[in-house]
Amino acid sequence: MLLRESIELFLEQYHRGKAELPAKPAKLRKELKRFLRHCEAQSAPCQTADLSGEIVASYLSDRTRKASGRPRKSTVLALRVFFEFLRREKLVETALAAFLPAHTATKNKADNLLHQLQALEENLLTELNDLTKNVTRLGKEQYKVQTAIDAKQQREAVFFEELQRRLARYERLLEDLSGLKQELTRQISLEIIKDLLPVIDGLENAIALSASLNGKIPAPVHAKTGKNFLRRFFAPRELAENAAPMDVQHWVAGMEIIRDRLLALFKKSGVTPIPSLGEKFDPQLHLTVAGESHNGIEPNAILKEQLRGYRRGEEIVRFAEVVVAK
Amino acid sequence: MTKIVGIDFGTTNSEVAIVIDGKPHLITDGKQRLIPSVVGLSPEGELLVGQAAKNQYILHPERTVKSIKRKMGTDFRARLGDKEYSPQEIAAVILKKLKTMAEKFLGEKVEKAVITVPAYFSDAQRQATKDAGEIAGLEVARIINEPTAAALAYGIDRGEAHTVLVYDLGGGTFDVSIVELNSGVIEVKASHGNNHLGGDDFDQKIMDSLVEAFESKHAVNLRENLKALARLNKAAERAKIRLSDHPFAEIVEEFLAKKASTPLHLKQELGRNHFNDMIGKLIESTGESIDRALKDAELKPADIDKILLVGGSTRIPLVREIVMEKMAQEPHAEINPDEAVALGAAVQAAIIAGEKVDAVLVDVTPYSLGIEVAEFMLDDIYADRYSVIIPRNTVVPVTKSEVYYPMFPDQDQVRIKVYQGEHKTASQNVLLGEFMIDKIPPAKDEDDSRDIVVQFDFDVNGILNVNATLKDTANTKSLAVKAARQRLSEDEKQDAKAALGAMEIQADDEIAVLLRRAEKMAAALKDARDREEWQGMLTALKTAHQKGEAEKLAELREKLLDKLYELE
Repeated sequence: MLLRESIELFLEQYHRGKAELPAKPAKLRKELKRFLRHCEAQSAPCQTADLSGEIVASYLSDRTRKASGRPRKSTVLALRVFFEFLRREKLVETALAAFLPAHTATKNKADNLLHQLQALEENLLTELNDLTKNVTRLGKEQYKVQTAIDAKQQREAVFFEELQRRLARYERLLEDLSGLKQELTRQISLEIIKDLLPVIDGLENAIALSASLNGKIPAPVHAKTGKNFLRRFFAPRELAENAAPMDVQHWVAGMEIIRDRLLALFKKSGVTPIPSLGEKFDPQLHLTVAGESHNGIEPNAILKEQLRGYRRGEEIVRFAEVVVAK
Repeated sequence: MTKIVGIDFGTTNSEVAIVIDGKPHLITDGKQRLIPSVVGLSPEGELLVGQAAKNQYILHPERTVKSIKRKMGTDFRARLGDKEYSPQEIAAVILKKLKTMAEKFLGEKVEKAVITVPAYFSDAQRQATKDAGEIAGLEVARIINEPTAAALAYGIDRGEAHTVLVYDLGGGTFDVSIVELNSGVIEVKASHGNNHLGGDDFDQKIMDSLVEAFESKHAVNLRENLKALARLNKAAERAKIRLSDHPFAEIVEEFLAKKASTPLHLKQELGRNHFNDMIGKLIESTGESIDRALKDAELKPADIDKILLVGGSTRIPLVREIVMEKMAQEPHAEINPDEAVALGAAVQAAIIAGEKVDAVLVDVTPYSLGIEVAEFMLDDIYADRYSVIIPRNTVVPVTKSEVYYPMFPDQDQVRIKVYQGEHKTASQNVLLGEFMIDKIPPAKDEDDSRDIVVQFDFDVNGILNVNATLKDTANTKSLAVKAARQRLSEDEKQDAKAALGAMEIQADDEIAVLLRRAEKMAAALKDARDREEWQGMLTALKTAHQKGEAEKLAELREKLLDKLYELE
């Protein structure tokens, strides 16, 4: 029997409701016709008996190619039902026999693939898990390192700030230093001059007193009796023994020279005596130690200077102590 | 912000001070620290204040006013030329001068002041002082008692209750006050004194003795010789100051006078013992004032927590001795006694202005410094005794000397052992060093005590220079040792602090950063329970850190790190 006749018989039976079919009749018809065309293209005109597993397989693969993908379940089912029909009607044995193992092989193959796929998936999941763990660990590590870096930066900032602070102070100190040095020099020279004031005062006193001694100077009082060992060493013996009065003018002149030397020294440091004798009393410069009434002398005129005053510019080193006319 | 200054308005001198950066400073006019409390009118009609007014006092007493403080609160009218003024107006001139000084120093306006008055001042006297301030253009933020100011300068207002005795011996006035300070409440419990006792009296004593000695030696009376008297007055003051730190003062005034055609010189040595004899009665009378003040306050010496010495004359060793004897405790004099009241007024001013105030810090010797000696007591010789030359809490740098004698007539060498400490037995203190002074000539006669002057120079670097000299000879030996020194300067302290801070960070930087982050995170946590747990962890970490438990710390740190990472 021709394959075409078998198909028509099958469809007729199907129409009579003898066969249960998985697909819609139109689709089924279409599919079977397509199968017929495929078989006839292989060996025309195709006998039902010619059907073999090979033809079915080639059809299925052809179908797969054309439909791009696996043959539809309905296609396979339709073919399977059709072959069942052929076997039931004893029309052919071969096709189904060939078809069923081929299907089982495919299924096995698919199962195998599925298995492999599952294994692969499992593997992938494990790997993904490991990877996630690693990433977390690395992230934490990085976080720790970042913390350390922050700390280091902070420490550097502190050091830097401290360095800057010290540098600024150092620069300030350097700046101050030159001014300070000058000021210090001024102050030290003033201190020395202050210490020298009693010396120059002594000279002044000696000069003033000697000048009033009628031109004669007596022998020093302490020369013989001095207890101080320094004095014993330094007092000139012959002066002590030669107690005769001496001419005083030259002595005074000599002492004046010494005084002037000292004054010149003072001047070098900017210290000058405050003029007083004959001047008018100025409370900013002079300190009154006494007031005396005199006829014919203008009040506030300075009559006597008891202690010479000194100044450096505007700064008073020592006030002049004066007796002033009332 | 307007600055508030502190003013010590004194009988003889006045001062102004201010707190800058937490530190009280005395304001100076050029080099002048003290402004004489004198006001005058020059013949040209110029108003004179301070030294210039003092300069004309002898010439124009009718145009010059001194010691106006004694007249505050009375109807006294002070004459200045043709016009008369109230004490308030005169005082105002002085206060105005201080205000101007402060403004010049600060470079800004000064409109407020704290002014000090003696504790015994009546309300009328206080009001008059306040008025004076107001006339001078100063809003008087407060009138405070001088002893209170001194206590403030010493920072005693801080902390628990204190009862303080302030012994104030100045140039011309003396008073002793007992002040109770209790958490900001200050009460003067008693005050006694002598309005006319002070350093000038001690100068006068020395002067009198010089004049007498001169008269007995040369038969020349110097009392008529104005110039000689003026010189002696200064010499006496210098000697008095010298005797505060040295056992002898040499008074030399060449060409002081003449007799016929002979010039006469004064050259005399004044020992501290002799000076103490001269002023002993006067100083002892201050001891009576202490007794009366204690009685009025119903207190015993032991009830006094602290004794403060104020006023320049408290530098005299005898004053210190008598106060110590009366009170059986060591008085404090670390702050310049001339400045303590003004500095304390500045402290009060800063407190009113709400500024931070540090205590007045000075470098002091933390221990007493002295040498080993033997003492005769009731004919017995006690060896290994300790003779203090520089008492503890003395401001450095300082130079002090004392005189000692060889024990036996034929002794020709003396060992000087230098100690640091407070124990009366020398060897119980810390030995700093020792040396020998030898070749001491044998005593010529019974009076020849062969004085050995031992001088201690203690500098700011903590170096103690000890020098022993056989008096009036070139026989001298010296030794330099390193002694303990207290308190760093502000700058040094800053540096040390910064260095320490940097080091701390270095050791625990990671923990610190972690904690900071964790705290920030904790603040951001919404859930209260989370926050609590978080805080618990932080506390545990901090505790472990403080206790130095390394293992626990590492574990907690890891835990915290995980948590932080998770959350961030």
